[in-house]
This record gives sequence, structure tokens and C-alpha cells, in this order.
Amino acid sequence: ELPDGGARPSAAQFKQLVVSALRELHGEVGAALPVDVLTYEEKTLSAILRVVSSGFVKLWSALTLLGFYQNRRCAFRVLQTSPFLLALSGNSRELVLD
Amino acid sequence: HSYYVFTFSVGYSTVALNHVIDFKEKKQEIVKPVSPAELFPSLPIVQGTSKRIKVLTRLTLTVSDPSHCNLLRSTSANIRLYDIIAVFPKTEKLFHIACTTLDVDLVCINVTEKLPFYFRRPPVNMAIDRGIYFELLYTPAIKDSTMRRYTISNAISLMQICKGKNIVISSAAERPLELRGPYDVANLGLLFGLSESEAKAAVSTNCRATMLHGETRKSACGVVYTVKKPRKVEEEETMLPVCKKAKTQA
Repeated sequence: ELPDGGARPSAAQFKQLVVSALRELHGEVGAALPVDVLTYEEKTLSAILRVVSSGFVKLWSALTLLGFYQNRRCAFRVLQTSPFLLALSGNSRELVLD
Repeated sequence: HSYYVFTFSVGYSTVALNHVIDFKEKKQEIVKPVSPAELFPSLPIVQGTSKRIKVLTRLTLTVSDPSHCNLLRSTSANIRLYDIIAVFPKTEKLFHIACTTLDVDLVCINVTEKLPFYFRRPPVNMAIDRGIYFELLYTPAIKDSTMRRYTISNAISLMQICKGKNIVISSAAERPLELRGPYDVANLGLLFGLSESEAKAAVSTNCRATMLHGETRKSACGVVYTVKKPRKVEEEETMLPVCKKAKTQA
């Protein structure tokens, strides 16, 4: 989420943002973690990332604690996590409990 | 005082508005909390259910002197209006007092600077027995990298002493952008050294237990229980039949 109406990052800049978040929190070892950006939509600023399962906690915590992108305030909202790509089609958090 | 504006689409079901009272300034008075109905005319619906979000009020007292704690014991009417009471001790002695005798629901652990005291096991265990929870904030970790280090180091030292029990992770967000979803916060618990179930509990069940603790603190002023006296031996019963009555202790 980038609330101010500035320039939106491109796909390459987005990947660089993710890697720099990892570097800030987990150092060079974190930045070396292989992360793939599978899809990226510039309009909604949403993306699907893929990472090794051993690095999952590191990536998620690095994204959660990221506060700034080029001195602009921003926030990462993780909508869904799953080991399978197919499961991402239905958001289990939207299920209605009675 | 700090007032928040929230984005409720993130998936929380209950929210507490915090008022911070710092005792270093003179003549601090506890003011009546702003009723949630005035701030939000219509509360949005929780994601995934059909109920509305609950908004509670909460008071945080920053104590650096034992005389400040007298306020908690006073019968000031305004204190009773808050749902949750938290204390933020600055010295080791106050931490000990807060864990053992003070009537609070939460003990805040400072994350923005190096702790001036080390945690010791006896007061922490007593707090766990009494049902008091330790609170960690995660918003400083988003703002500043030195505070990130202090947050993680203080959290890890707390974990070593309390073994991950009775922990609540909360945000001191002042802007909606500093809020993170509940699953993200549970993941941060893993960073602090909690196990997965403990981390999830730190966001969900422990918070609910704190709310209930606050409610019982508001309601109960005394407890009455009856104890049945054990029946005496047979020959005594024939001599004194009156003693067979069960006694009540108030």
C-alpha cells in the first residue's frame, strides 16, 4: 500500500524493494534468499511471491516490518499464504463463520 | 492522549483505544475516556463474520515512582470506566510491584530503549499465576531500525524468562498505515522466539483473556464462597447434633 499518490514501482523496482527489506532485517544472508515475483500488477500494487519454505518466515517478517519505500511511508499487507498456487484462488479469510 | 483512525479491513474483531498518562508531569488527572460511540458513528463489520467490531478503551500508566501507584488503589471513578488497564514500569522495583501486587491487566515492556533492568524469574512467575500478561509493541520496529534491534533483544530476553507464556503483541499505531494484519503479527512472534502456537495465541487467545481479566476486575469487588465442614465422627454427632450444619465463610 502506498497512500500518497506518487509514482508506482515497476516490477523490477518491486523486486528490489523486497530484497532490500530482507537485507534490512536479515542482512546479507536474508538478501541472498531466492525470491521470485510470479505476477505483479502495478494498478493494484499486488503481487504473488514465491520463496523456499525454509525462508518463508524470514520473508514474511521482513515484509511486515518494512516501513519506507524511497522515504515514502508504505505498508505490506499479506492477503494469503499457501504452499500451493491453486489454493490462492479462494481466500480462506473471507469465509463466513456463524 | 493518542486517538487512532483504523482500517478495519485488515481482519481484527476487537480494537482497544489507548490513553497514555505519564506521571512525570505534575497534576495529571485521569480523564474520562471518550466513548467509542462518539468517535465512530457506525462500526464496520468484521471480515468473515456478520458481527460488528468491538471497540474498548484502555489506559496506560507510565510509572517511574512508587507513589504513582497509589492512584490505582484510589477509588477514582474514572479509572473504573476503562476496560483494560496497563502499567508501564520504568524500574526493576516497580516491575516487581506491578507483577505481584498491582491490580492491572497488562504490563508493558519497553521496546524503544535498552531495558535498565533484567527480568528475574520470581516476579514473572507470580504475574503468570495472577493472570497478568506482558505486552510487546511492534510499531517502533516499523519506524526505526535501532528500535527494531531493541524490540527484538528485549522480546527475546523476556521469552527466555517466561518461556513464551502470557504474551500479548500489540501495535501502538498512530496511523492506519502502521497497522499490520493479525497473521503478520503472529509471524513476528516467531521472530521473537515463540513457537507457532504460542505466537498465534499471543494475538488471539491471550488478548481475549486480557479482556476478560479486565471485565472481572471491573465487576468483582469481593468473593463469597461456602465450605462444607467435614462430618465429625459418629459418637460426637449424637452428643452435639447442632454441629452438623454446614458453616458458611464470607
